[in-house]
Amino acid sequence: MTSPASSSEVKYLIESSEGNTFDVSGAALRQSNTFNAMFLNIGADGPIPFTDYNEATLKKVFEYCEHSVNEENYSGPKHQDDLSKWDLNFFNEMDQKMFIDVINASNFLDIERLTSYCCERIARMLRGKNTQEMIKVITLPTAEELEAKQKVEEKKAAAAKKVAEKAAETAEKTETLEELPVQQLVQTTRNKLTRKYLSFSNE
Amino acid sequence: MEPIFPILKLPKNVIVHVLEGIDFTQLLIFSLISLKTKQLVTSLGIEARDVDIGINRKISINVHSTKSYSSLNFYDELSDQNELSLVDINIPVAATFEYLYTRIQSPTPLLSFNNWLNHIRTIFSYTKPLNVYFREGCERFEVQSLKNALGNINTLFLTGLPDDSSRKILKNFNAPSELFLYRNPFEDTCHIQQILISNCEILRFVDEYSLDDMLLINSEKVKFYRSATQKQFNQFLKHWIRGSNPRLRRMSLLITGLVDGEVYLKGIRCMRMSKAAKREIRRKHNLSDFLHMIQIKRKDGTAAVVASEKSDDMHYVRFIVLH
Repeated sequence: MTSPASSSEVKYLIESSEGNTFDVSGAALRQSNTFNAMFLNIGADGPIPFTDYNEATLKKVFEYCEHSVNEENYSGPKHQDDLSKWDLNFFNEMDQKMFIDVINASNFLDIERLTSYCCERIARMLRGKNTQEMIKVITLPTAEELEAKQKVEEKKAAAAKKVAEKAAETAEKTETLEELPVQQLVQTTRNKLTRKYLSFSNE
Repeated sequence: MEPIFPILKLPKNVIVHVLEGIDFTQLLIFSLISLKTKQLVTSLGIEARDVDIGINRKISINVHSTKSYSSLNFYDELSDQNELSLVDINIPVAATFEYLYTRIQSPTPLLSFNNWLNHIRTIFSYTKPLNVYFREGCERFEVQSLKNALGNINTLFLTGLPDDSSRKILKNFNAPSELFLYRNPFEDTCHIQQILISNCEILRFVDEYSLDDMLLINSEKVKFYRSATQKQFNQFLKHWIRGSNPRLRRMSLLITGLVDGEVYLKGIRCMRMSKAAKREIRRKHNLSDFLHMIQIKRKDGTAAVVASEKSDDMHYVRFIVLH
């Protein structure tokens, strides 16, 4: 059931990447500036497709929106210490993959409050760190790791080059053989065997 | 265990949002991680208002923005305080970062002092000349190398230095907009007069000065920290009326010897000023309400105000040329 959001009682159907649908209140959805820009005034026929995000992520994002429906208007990011117990639980129960998915979805849906809180949590990971510690946090490879990676890539490239050369050589031989008439092919093989035999005899 | 988070895999606007939530010093550190992080911090468009370089036993780069500041220190390894080992600033070095009460030591990256400066100039879009403060201990650093790294400078501040060091610095950094000179390092008066006659905009001079020194000054704003006699200032005013110091806009100094009466305006035609005119000058030049003011005029018609405030046996005088 979908209809223009004139009251907070209105429910909208949301479609996830799996093709599943679930409903979200209009009041919760209106925290999404993307939704406001796309559907608020014109309404939606059928489920609203947010199909870049899976059901679990979208449900998590709208769980936050439903919870913050009754909170006062957003006025900039809060300090981590000012977050409510509910907010802290909300963030703490997510694993990293879910957290990243939630940030991406919240960013796409342009939910200012949730995006800001997520960004504040990430900013906390950087505070008080020196460059090496930051590199570890943001999982950037170190110089040694980059060097090792480069060596592996060079080895791989060299191996690939060898394989390519061999393939080209084989292709060339095959081509040559294919071009020869059968009798000539038999003669060529005989000559090769004779040369081999002679080389053995000389030893 | 430290948290791990692949920040750079997030959309750019989210990364920018994260960076907007961290302080100036952490931004600076973040910018040093890779070319990508440098570009991200640069894209925030934070502009430094001033970049000051402090040089004593160590070198500090102090970056001020409109909202915050950050301080980076180099060569501040603890060594024997009596020993001043020479330092080559072209050799790559690590920095220590300071912000409020936090001190962050970062063993990487290692950059030459010149490259540290270039990095800061790039990420904080700073193209103006630097303010450089030389203090005791700066002899560790070779002046020519410093000149090569710092280029032309805005403010040159010299205090507590051996004369030899001051002379070298004044020779190499010869055209600052603002000069603070604590002590005259020259034996020959003609050398200090060459400094006074240079056309820096602001001159602050803490050592003794003569009437000749005053008359040679070619700066717009001058502050003398030592006192002049009433006679010396009186003669200066008479020379100014006849046309000396044409660039001078403002000068402040102390006058002593008031026990014999106030004679520093003797022989000078003074004009009374209206209350409104005095109020306007106080507002414009941020002067106290207790200053006594009179107006004088030079022969070409240019007017000036002599504002003074008496304290014990001396006058604190501001000489302000009106446009």
